Amino acid sequence: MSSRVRGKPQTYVRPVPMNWFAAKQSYTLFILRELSAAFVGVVVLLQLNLVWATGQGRTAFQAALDWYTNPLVVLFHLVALGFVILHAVTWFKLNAHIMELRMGEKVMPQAYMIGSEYIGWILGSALIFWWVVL
Amino acid sequence: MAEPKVRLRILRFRPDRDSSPSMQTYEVPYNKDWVLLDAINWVKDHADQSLSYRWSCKMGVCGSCGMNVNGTPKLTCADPLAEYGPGSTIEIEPLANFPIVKDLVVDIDDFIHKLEEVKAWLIPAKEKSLEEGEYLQSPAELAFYKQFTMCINCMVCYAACPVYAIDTSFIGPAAIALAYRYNNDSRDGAIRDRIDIIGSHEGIWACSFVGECSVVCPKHVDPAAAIQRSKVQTTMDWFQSFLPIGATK
Repeated sequence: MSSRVRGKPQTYVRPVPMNWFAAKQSYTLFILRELSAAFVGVVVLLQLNLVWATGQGRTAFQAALDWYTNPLVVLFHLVALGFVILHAVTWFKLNAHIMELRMGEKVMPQAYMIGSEYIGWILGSALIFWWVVL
Repeated sequence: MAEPKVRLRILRFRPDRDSSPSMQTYEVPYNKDWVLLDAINWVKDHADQSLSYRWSCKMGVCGSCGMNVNGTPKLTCADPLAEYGPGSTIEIEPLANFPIVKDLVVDIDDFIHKLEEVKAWLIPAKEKSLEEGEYLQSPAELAFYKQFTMCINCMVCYAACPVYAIDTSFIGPAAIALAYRYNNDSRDGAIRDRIDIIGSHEGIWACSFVGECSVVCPKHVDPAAAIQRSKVQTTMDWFQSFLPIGATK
């Protein structure tokens, strides 16, 4: 759209396309990371539903468990898992920009920060696995 | 043997006769020792004198030759032609997200206004007279913000920022990075003023951390880091305001 403001030359403002996020891989990954919040939200609601069903007695709990074994529900959880992993991986990478590791005046490579995040992730997952499964 | 060439597809907008931009193609000799700006200069010198664009130092310091090249904002003086190779077609457009004045020249008034808004200069807490000497600083204090002093105001980060593309009221990466640079300079005393500006709705909180500003920055300033660290700093300041010591002065 071309515009003229008094005292300024006429300029042309390029419109932003609706699919701007498809222009670059980094934009697409960003949108997918944002979208992951919707999947996480639905998973939390499903978990709350399970808690509610537990309070309704054995029959309601069993009915909820049966519903969770529906292939479509399992598929949804697999897709949600994929989004959560995407969120974690892209966020770990970005987080290294925020949290800078320094040794005195020397700034350590971002790989140190990213590596420590993955180590924390693995240790946290192992702890939950030991607590819940073993 | 025919001389190797590259094709430059350049966006043209002549406000006196065009209602919208169009692309124009030029065949330019290929020279492996050239940067892209040399090829654009060849067009200006030998093919079309009406082509308008900005450049000055040709050594990655002045920050005026930023353009969108094949969709990616970059300094054309630091973009070797050898990376494209002979026979290639290179699409050159003005920096995205800015109004086009003519051809590859964009209107930078908005950015200049934002630099003024964030007070991107040193404001000592107490002015010293010449007799009192310099404002001293240790190497460790300098190291804390030095990376952010490298910004050359080229606006390449604004052209890569989808938040700025959608809402130009966003203060944007470079201006916030420079505000962060002065906020963390031990000689500065105006952090309170800047926090109020960059902590506004149009400031750091508008950034959704796409991170592309840091990817394209030709001086490795990492404006995304400055924005996120400013979020931490501003949040700490807000919590601190409830404590007896109060917010940052």
